[in-house]
Amino acid sequence: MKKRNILVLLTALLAFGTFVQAAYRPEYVLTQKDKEAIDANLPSSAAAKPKKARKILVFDKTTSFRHYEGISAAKYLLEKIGKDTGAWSTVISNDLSNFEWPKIKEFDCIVMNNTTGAPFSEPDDVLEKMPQAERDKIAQRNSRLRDNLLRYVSEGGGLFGIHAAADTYRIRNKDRYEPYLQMLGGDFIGHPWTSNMTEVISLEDADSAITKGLWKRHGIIVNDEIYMMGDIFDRGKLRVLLSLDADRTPVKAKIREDKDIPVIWIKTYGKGRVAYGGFGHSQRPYTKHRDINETYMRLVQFCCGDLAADTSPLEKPARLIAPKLFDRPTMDDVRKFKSVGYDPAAFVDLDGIVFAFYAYNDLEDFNNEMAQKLLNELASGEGTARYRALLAQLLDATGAKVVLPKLRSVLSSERDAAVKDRLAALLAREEGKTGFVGKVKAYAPPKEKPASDRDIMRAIIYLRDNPQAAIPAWLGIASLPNADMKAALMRALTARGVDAAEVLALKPESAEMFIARLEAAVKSAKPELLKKAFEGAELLSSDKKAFARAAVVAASAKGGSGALLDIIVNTSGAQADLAAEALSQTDISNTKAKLLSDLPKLDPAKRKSVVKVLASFPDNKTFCDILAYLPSEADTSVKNEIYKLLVRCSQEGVDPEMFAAVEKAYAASKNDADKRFLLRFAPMSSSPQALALCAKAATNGTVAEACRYLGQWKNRSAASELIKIAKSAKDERSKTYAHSALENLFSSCAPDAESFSYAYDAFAPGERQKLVKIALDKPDKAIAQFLRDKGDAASADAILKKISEAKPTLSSSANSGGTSAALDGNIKSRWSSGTAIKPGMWVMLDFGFSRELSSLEFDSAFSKGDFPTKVRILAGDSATALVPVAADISVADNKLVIKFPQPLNARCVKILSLDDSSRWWSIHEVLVK
Amino acid sequence: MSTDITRRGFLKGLSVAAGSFFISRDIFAQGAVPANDKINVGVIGLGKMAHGHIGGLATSPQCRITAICDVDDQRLAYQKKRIEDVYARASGGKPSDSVKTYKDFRELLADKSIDAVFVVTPDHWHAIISILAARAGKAVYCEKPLTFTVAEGDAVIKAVRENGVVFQTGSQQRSESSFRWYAQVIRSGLLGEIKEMYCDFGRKYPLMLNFEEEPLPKGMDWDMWLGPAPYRPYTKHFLYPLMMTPDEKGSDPYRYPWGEWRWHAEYGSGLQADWGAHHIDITQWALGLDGKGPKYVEVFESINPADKNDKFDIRYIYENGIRLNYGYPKQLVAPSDKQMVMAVGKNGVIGASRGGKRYASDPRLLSAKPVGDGLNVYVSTNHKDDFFNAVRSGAGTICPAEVGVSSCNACLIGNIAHMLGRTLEYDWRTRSFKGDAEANRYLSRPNRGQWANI
Repeated sequence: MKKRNILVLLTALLAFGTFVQAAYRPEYVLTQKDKEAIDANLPSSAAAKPKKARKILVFDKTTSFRHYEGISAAKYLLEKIGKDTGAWSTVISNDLSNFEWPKIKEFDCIVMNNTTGAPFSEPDDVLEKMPQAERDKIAQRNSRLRDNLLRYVSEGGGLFGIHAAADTYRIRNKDRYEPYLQMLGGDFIGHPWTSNMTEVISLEDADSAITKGLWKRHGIIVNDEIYMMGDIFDRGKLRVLLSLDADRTPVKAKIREDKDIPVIWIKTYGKGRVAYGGFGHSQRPYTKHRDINETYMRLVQFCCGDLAADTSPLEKPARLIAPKLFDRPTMDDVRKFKSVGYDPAAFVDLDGIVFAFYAYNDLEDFNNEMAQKLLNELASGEGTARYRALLAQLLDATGAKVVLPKLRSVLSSERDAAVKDRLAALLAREEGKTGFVGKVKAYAPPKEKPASDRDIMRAIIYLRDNPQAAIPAWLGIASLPNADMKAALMRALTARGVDAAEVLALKPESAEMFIARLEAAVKSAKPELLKKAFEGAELLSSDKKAFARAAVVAASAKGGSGALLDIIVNTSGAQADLAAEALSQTDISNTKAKLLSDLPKLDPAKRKSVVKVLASFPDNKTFCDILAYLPSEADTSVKNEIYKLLVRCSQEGVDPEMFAAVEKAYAASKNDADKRFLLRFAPMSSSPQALALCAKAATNGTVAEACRYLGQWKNRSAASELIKIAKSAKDERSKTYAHSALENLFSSCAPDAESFSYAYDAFAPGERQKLVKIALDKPDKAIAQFLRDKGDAASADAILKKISEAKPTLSSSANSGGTSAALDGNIKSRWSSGTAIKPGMWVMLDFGFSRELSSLEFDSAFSKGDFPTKVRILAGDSATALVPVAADISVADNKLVIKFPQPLNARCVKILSLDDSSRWWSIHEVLVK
Repeated sequence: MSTDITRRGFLKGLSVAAGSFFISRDIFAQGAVPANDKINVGVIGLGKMAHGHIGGLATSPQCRITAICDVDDQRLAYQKKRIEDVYARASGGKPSDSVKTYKDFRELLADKSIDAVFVVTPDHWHAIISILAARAGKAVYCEKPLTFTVAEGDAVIKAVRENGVVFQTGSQQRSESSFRWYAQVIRSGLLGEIKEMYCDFGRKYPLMLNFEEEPLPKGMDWDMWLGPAPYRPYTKHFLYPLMMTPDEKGSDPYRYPWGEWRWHAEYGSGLQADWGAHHIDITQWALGLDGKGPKYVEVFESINPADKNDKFDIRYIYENGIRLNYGYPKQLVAPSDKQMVMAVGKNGVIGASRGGKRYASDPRLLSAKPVGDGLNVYVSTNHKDDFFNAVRSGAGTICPAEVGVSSCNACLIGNIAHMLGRTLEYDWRTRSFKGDAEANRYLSRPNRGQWANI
């Protein structure tokens, strides 16, 4: 790549070059799982016996981006390999005094473990706080240690740079120090792929001591954000061992023109040895690829001087060859099938040889060699018919390019159909034939009007699909025998780009023609044409199916909602009905305000259809808006439509804002029916305000409704109100209402001891058994005590037993194992999702019985910030009957705190993440109140 | 996907309606059609799939089956009687000899009285029959996967466009409410930026099955069954004789297993295309990529427990970086919530399955209203009626040739990458692979014998 191009690219990649200093985050602690995975992928022994005891320094200071996971994993890996194999001892330290002369000479290899920025300096935010004198000192230290490092290597030391070592002393006009980059051999300029994508890595040098015997597995697909290098990288100065196959790796951003993306290289610097390893963005490569770990061991041994490897430059191969998962097949492998027949048992082995051939058919030498041999084998006439059919198929895999002339003669003398067919197809393909010549007399619309309807229709459809063809003179709307064909012609005109106004000038005669006109208007995206297309809507009225289709078409009109609204207001009958239906198919959030403001001006029938349209967008706002309007509505049928709308809007519950609107409407309403209707929203809210409204209703002569809705309350707070009503009841009927509502309430919400004791004493003795059963279902210690006091020790014991046996459990969508660690009372142990938080991830607490809850605290302790902050709470009496519930979510002291505005009765509570985060979800302990 | 929609706000675009996105199925149902106005239909291929289709077509008020074609005398006789009996029952008269039978589909296509054909043959026949039917001026309803090779797809599109015929691909999931909802939510932008798509079906890439050679049953034209594909001796696994004698499993003569040619590389394209032509079709529909296709087929190591030499699995990457994986998003969705197709977006996860099943991590999405591009999702509530309506009134079909071909191509290029065991870059504009001449060879397969130059 020319230098100028690199510069252009650098400018384009500026975003990569301006990392901001990340906020402080604790070092990543490898999980047990990480360690086990790395341990399972370690080399078994050193690649070379160390010439003497070796000491390496693993250094990971960063002043810019920090690869927390990658750094921790490499520390663990290198120390572990050194210890297990005896190849070296490891010093892990960021103590800069190690780089002072001559101390630095104690080390046989220095590992730049994902260092970034100017690691011998300090981060910007630290420097900013320093007095100038101190800053000057640091600047001196920076240049001194930098040069010590270069001197150390050039005098015979070893340097192994991991991943972001190429993002060190790299940023222009800031900390760039080219001698370091030259020593290393490359400078990071971007990663046109991310660690979430897969990168295909290819082996370039299979004979190097560093790679020998490794990297045999196919494809070497990693997810590791491999770095792309800039113009410091020069193939002439180093030896690339592995590179990224840019042709086979999905690329998200601009990539170097020459697509040369080295991943591992080795080189010399003065008398010293330098290696770069691009893997290690996170712990992932070390936990998955033994080949990476073994290669890194060899690179360290190379740097120490124990493992010799050729560092002379290699040219970039013309095409990177992915290593194969199959061994390269030979004719001996093929001849094993000589006597194979049509035998089901042979199919796996047949797949083996066939897939192996395909796997190698990107190698020209393989294709040429095998094509010759296969054809010779075929010509020999040996083997079963099935074997020879296989030979033909394998020949097809090689492309047979070098044997085509001979193939023709073999084909001409071949008798067996299975072989012949395959060879003929192969030959035809190599001759560029696909089997489809299309040499037939092409269809063209007839010059004269055809006799049959089908032939007329064919001409119309042809003209629709081929706008370049001229419309024959005989073809016109008037000349067509039926309305369906006329509709077809209208559609053809629209498809041919004829002005929609022209199509709309044609009068509709049928429902299908009406729809065809509508399609033309919708395509034109002109509101005035949409209005015009609605003329003739009465053609639809007898045909429900056409009506529905027309509504769907009209709904898809771009910017059509305003026009549809005008049609509702300004027309009547079929047109208004269709417009209302179309509008109700779509999101009308933009036109809703206008609909509402128009409402009082319309006649009752129109009002009804507007309310119906509103019902298609039944959100909280619509609920409040239509409630404000309700008291002024006099027409009963419109009112009923409004009632329906209100019920629909409240299906997901009534929030405080909505209930405030209910209270207002209740106060404004002069109509008893309205008032009785509005009370139904009280239990949906179950708020103190709702309780007050019911209390008011009870004293205003609607005691039956008040009790009924209090009995449906979502928490136990209604109990005291019902007891109040019962106690102050002037007649037996009111008292019965209150008592039966209380029983209802108890069956859904766990009763408190006080209301329970009232009911126990006030209800008829025959009802008591029911109450005891409720108490058993919803165990409560105080109620047990009450029953014991009443002499029912057996029930009291049963309740207490139930409480002692019920154990809360935690489950999750992400990692169902280990959830008990969040409920074991030990803040040190934790449950963790093991994967990043995504929308839809959830955890669920199951208490084993319905209980009252006022708050939940999910403590993430020292797994700081490991929880979603945007969540939705669902609760219910079983895991399958969960409904969204209102909750105040806050974060305090590394806890996710969920407070319920009203006490909640539930057995199961699910916390559903709406967050999209790179963090895991960790719960050390759950505190339930 | 319009970012404008995303900006308009997730919540604002959602409604909490219990009402459905769309008008219910019954009001889309067809009304009665006068007898003389019925579309004359020929059914080509009388296998297990056609057995189902005929049940619907024979009772449809839209059409009348006047001809059938198959390579097996027994199937022809059985279905002729079955159809004539249905018509006799409907008219209250005696069965009449109204259904013509053919063993060569070219003779059926030559019958001028036939308006439309249903192509219900094995995959390697789809393209040739569709092309010849188009040239004969017949409307074509062709089963999925639409073609056997990518080159065939181009030829089908050309033939349909040049001959003024209506074409419908038999990907009937597009006419199911759950999948339409899925496409509408995604295209409305309500799920936010899409990150991953999933298709859930079993692993069965085309392999080299090697069934035993068996004597050909009487009345079967094996050479015609093979047609453009290379010869191999008859095996019942590819073409079962009807089971005319009742046994303990019942008396339906079609109770034999699905033809295993589907899993054999020379006659079928595996589950990859069998289900892929449905689920990948829905995926591309939902992403607004009809007529286009993936940019990469990524191959990775994965050994098939049933065949140790089947060592690779694949996933797709679209130009916009969206990945299409097999399976379902296990880290986000409980196994009980998994669906046939699933999408992971910035705002959550949704999924849909046959039988109207839907899943949404945010329940409000279940009743969301389409906005923006979501309103452009074509609505069909009955796949065959959508076809018949197009035949009558020149309206479009929900899955025309261009779309059926692009969905099928996505499956076929996956098979090629799997076969070659290497990641491929595909250009849907030229329908070829970039930088892999060997892979490009398998985009076509010249036809056998008399079918070589269609």
